[in-house]
Amino acid sequence: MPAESLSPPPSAHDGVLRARPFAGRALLGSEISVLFRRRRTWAMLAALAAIPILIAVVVRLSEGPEPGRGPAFLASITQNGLFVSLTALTVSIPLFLPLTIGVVAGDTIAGEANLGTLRYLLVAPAGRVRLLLVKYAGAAVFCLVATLTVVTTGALIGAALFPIGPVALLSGTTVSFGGYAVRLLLLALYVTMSLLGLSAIGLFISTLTSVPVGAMAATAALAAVSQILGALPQLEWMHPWLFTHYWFDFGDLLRDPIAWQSFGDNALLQLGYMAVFGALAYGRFSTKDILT
Amino acid sequence: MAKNWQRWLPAGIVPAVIVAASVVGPNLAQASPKLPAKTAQELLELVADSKDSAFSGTLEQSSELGLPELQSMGPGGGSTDGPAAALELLTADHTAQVSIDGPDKARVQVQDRLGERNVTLNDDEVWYYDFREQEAAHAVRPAEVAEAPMGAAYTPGQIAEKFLSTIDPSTEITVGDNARVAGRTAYELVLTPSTDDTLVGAVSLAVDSETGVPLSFTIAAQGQSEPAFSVAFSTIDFGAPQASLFEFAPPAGTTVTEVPVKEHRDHDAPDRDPGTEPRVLGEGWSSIVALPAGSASDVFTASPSSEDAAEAQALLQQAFIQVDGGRVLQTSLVTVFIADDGRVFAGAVSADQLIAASQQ
Repeated sequence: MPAESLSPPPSAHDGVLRARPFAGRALLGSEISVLFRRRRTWAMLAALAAIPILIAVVVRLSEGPEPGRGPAFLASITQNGLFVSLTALTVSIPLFLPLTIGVVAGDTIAGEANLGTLRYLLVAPAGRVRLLLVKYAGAAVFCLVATLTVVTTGALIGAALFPIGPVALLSGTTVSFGGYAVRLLLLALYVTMSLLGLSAIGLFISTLTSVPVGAMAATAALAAVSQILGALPQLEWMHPWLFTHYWFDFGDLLRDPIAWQSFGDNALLQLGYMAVFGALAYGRFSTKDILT
Repeated sequence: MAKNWQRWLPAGIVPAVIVAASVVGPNLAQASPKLPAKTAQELLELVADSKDSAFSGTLEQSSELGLPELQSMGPGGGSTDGPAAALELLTADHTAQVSIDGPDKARVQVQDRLGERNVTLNDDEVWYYDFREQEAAHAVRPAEVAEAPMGAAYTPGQIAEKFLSTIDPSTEITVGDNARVAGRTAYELVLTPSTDDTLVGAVSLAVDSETGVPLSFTIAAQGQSEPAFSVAFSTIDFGAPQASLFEFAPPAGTTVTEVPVKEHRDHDAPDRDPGTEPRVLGEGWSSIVALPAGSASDVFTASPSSEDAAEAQALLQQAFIQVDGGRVLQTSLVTVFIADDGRVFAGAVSADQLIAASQQ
């Protein structure tokens, strides 16, 4: 990647895009490298990694929780350290993951506009659609990395502090390490997929403003609003349409046999959000006067 | 350079397509299928013949009883322990994976959010397993007990059997419109009470046209458009389930309780005198079950002995309404009246009928 040596972030995109056929890939590579060279990104990943560590240490130091109380899977940790990943995911899904995704997705366009680098990006023969797609792909990669951070840190700290062994699934069936690892990977994919709708919303909001903090806050707040609406039984007709509706159904992957229904439903729902907010972001971004 | 309004087109078209697809899609499957006509009697025989079938499927249960939903908010979901759990089973919606292989092998997996409750029947062994509480219970089904255990009574088949066995002259049985349930064509059997004195509007049962396996079971309440209670398969597969599904062994770290089936029965029998037996007043759909004085005199006033009891008492106090001479719990299907002297009256009738019965 030539961009890395040419200029410091976040203006590393400049000057990369000579060969048009490779422009998309080069742009994506530069986008991801800029994203992951930011101190902010590492701080957020460190905060996410701290969640499983905190849970594991607290459970290790206490007497061990009573089954059925506290977040899901908490009581199982003392039996098997590998459950730390699951407890940490359950705790991070409502707030911490949406918050970090909100920061990344809200920053996509608004951040460049705020720094005054957006017009330079568009001077390069990238095109606005391609820039939107690359920005969205960057946010999606962050979703995956964030989820994997929680899952792998959880498994590692759990293995370090507690006995590990074959894992009991929700249905009472016991699976081996390999089977559990495959399911954890599926689970990380499921959670990543669950966050794609929110990323699309963040991308759209980011095209509306040149104040990145506003876009970040609005995206994270929408995740909270959607979850609150989802908890009100009076609005039951609306629930299947909320992008947070299937967030906690990742447990369906831990059944025997695996219940794939929610996986498919969730994929369809997130695709819908991506299509709608992607189209809105395109409408806004392609008609916008770029002044900065 | 395209005009600006053209760039906004996708933002208009995409939501329109999604809305159209979600409206038209389900309606395409709604057309009533054509099937050779059958009488109600023939349908009942078809159901009775289906006892040995093997299938697996996803069962959806939903209730609209007019009670507050007790499923707690948040990722943990409601407690699956104590008296609140029983109320939760009735009031909240559930999804269960059901696998049946003949009358002696069954597994019901109630899919709670981030948890699961399992009932497994393998010949004469019965297992109950609750992941969230890390508890399991094991019982051996006595040979003389022909009926399936409680958990297996959850399938439409067993519920239907109970209803069909109570059919009497007060019920009108008709064959309704053919339906499509879980992608299968089905006959519909409708039981309508011939009396107006009950809250039950109609009970309907969808029977798979090929195998006779009941696919859905619905109770409608008087004057309520949504079904008060419904259990229906959303997917069903008539292949024999994997044999390993029925072999249950509790995972390490589970608290296992052995349930002695026989002793449990003896335990109930001894100190029971006729004065405390429940009585049934009236007949058919409008019958009322009456428990004698003292049955529930202190449920609202006694100081709770445990956390679970306190939780249960708070729930009861919330659900019951104070009326003249006692308290009433009104749902769209069942009414319960607890008189101040502790007598309990319950039935699928209105509160006025229960209060009238208490004054006789």
